[in-house]
Amino acid sequence: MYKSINYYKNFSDLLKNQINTESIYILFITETIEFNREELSKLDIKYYGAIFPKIIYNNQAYSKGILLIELNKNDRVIFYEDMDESSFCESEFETAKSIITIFDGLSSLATKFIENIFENIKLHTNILGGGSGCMQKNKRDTIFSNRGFFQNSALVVLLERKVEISVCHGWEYLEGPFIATKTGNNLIEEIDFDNAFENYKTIVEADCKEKLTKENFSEISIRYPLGIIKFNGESLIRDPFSFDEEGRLILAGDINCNAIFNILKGDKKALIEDISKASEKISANGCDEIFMFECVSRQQFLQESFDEEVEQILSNSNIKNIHGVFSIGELGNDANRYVYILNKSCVIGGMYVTE
Amino acid sequence: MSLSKLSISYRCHNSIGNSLNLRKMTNEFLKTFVTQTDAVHGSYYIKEEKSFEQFINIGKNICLVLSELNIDENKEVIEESFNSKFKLLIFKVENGYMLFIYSKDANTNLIKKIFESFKNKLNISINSCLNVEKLKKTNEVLFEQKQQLEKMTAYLKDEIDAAIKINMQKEKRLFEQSKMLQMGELISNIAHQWRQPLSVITTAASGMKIKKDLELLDDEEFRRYIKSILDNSKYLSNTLDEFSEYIKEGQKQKDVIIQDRLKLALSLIESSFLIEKIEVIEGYVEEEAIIIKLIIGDLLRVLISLFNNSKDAFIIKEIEKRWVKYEIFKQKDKAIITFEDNAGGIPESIIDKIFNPYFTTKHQYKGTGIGLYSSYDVVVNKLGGNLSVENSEFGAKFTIELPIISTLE
Repeated sequence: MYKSINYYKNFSDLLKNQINTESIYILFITETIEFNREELSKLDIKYYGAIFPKIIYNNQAYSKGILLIELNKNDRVIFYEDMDESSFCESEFETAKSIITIFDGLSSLATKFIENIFENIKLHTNILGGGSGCMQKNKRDTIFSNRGFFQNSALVVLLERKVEISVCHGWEYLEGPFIATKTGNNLIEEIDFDNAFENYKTIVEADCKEKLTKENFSEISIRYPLGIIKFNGESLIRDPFSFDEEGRLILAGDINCNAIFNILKGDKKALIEDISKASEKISANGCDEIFMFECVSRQQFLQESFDEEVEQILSNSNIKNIHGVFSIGELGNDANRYVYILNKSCVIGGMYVTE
Repeated sequence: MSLSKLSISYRCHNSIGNSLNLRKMTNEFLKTFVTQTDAVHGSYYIKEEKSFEQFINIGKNICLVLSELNIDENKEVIEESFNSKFKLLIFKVENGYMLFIYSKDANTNLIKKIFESFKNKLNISINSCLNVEKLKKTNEVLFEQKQQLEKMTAYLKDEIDAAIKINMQKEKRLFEQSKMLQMGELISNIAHQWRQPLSVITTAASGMKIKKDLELLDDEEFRRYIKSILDNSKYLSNTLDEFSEYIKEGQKQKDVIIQDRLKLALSLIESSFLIEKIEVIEGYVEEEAIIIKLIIGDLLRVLISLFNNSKDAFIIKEIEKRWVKYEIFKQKDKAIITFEDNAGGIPESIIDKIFNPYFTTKHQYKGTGIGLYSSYDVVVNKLGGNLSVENSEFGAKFTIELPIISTLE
């Protein structure tokens, strides 16, 4: 997946480092870092990058820092300055065995863009990736290249070597099924022909024994995502992070009209167990290093349990190093099924570093 | 039934038939079915004349040639492996096939059962869309034809307008030519009329001079010569007055007595008819004056033209005993003037065309083909009457019908 990966606390540390000017670099930066393009341009390298709420390096999560990834010689990057006006050429993707896609996590264009990528890649090519973005700052331009920052943009890294992919979430059934009888992109207006918020509230309040209000909604709803029922009983997770005055639930991610879903409940132990199982699967394929796109909202629910999660992965598999980012929306498609942007999930990309 | 099967079935049922546009309808259904059943690819192949063409593609961009897959047309569902890690599911549907690609581990039995549960509804919807498309195509063809017709009509209208404009200009020129011709004929007539009195005056003046030189001119003879000169000069003066009246009052509209107009016309053609030895026979002439309001020059031109037409026919046909007979009578509220000659008539094959412009049976140096056309135009369009022709026992018979709308005060 990459030639080297390094962590720097800030730009001045990064600039002190010896950097190969022949290589292409990917920079994953936490939202707390002040991005200094002028300083970076002194390095005279070709770079692309994105801002995330947090980064993971060597089994540890950082809320401040930079991941500098040096790509392998034959890996390529396509930068889409505007996802809406992107044109795709199948031949560009022909040799890629795996694709990492970083997209503007708050853009409504992301779903269509990802579907277009999926249509154009080869049958066996798999995709992993995640949505960039900031949790604290109201910042929309979070993807960049040597040419600067762009809103509604995306970054596609074409890898010559295959990355093993595993997806997990660990959320469990609470109540359902329900039908989203009236929807609009990322809104649910009606559940079972009644006000969406009122229906959701009844179920959640009965379980958490707390009153669900505008003030505590995000704090409570983080534990109660929706699971759209899919083939073979799997769930596609959607995160209701807010509601409006008309009682419409606002989700991270789209939901189609007439979608049937369950209301799910989070249990820290179950979530950690699920990621552990996913890592085991990756490890069984011979991978010893993983790069993960972990949902920032899932991580908010787990809170301090991230170390526990890492411990579980390392103890139950041959995985030695965990790197990655906390993302806003995840992408994990093993080429055996249709592509979706996931929420509240964790996508693990496994690599063979020691071979 | 499992919840996931129920969910997929419900979603797919709801995605069928939401549009009467085949592309939209099948796109929505395929997208739903592909996403709900976790297919990698879904497509609809439509039956064309000799092959199946991919109409919609969802998911991975894959286009297969169905004929290479050796599909058994009698089978409703076909399942076969594809590309080592995948398998194909092909469903026979209305007007084609729906093809899906799944991971080789996918539970295709369940997928087949789900598809079968709404296949009938899907077929009905495809059929409805196809019918609507057929109707649309028919409408489009009709609309295109209508537009072409409208274009053609507009083009023809322009052409007609242009042709009318050219014709009007031509007609104007024709009338000018016609007028000039008639003027020439009038002058020719006046020349004929003047020749004899001028000769008399010249002879009288010469006789007086010779006799005076020979001192043979007595007073009585002198008075006779002078009287002869004065009488003929007066005749010349009268002819000039008539000609002058025709020129001056030619464009004025007033009440006229038809009988007088005919007499004037006769006086203008009299001498040329004498030369050509054409007898003018007066038939029935209404005693009571028939009065109509018109531009006096117009009717005179028509009358002279018809007289001259007979004269020309006599000359061409070299008929020895020549006559033209006219009649004037009243019939209800119409004045009827007829001209009949014994020039043998007009061949039936051309009798319908003789009022057409530029149509002439005369030699090109004599005829222009505008005399009768111009007469017809004056009678019909300016005087509101009718001009017709028929062959009588002896020759051609022209009939002028004029509406009587005024009386002499």
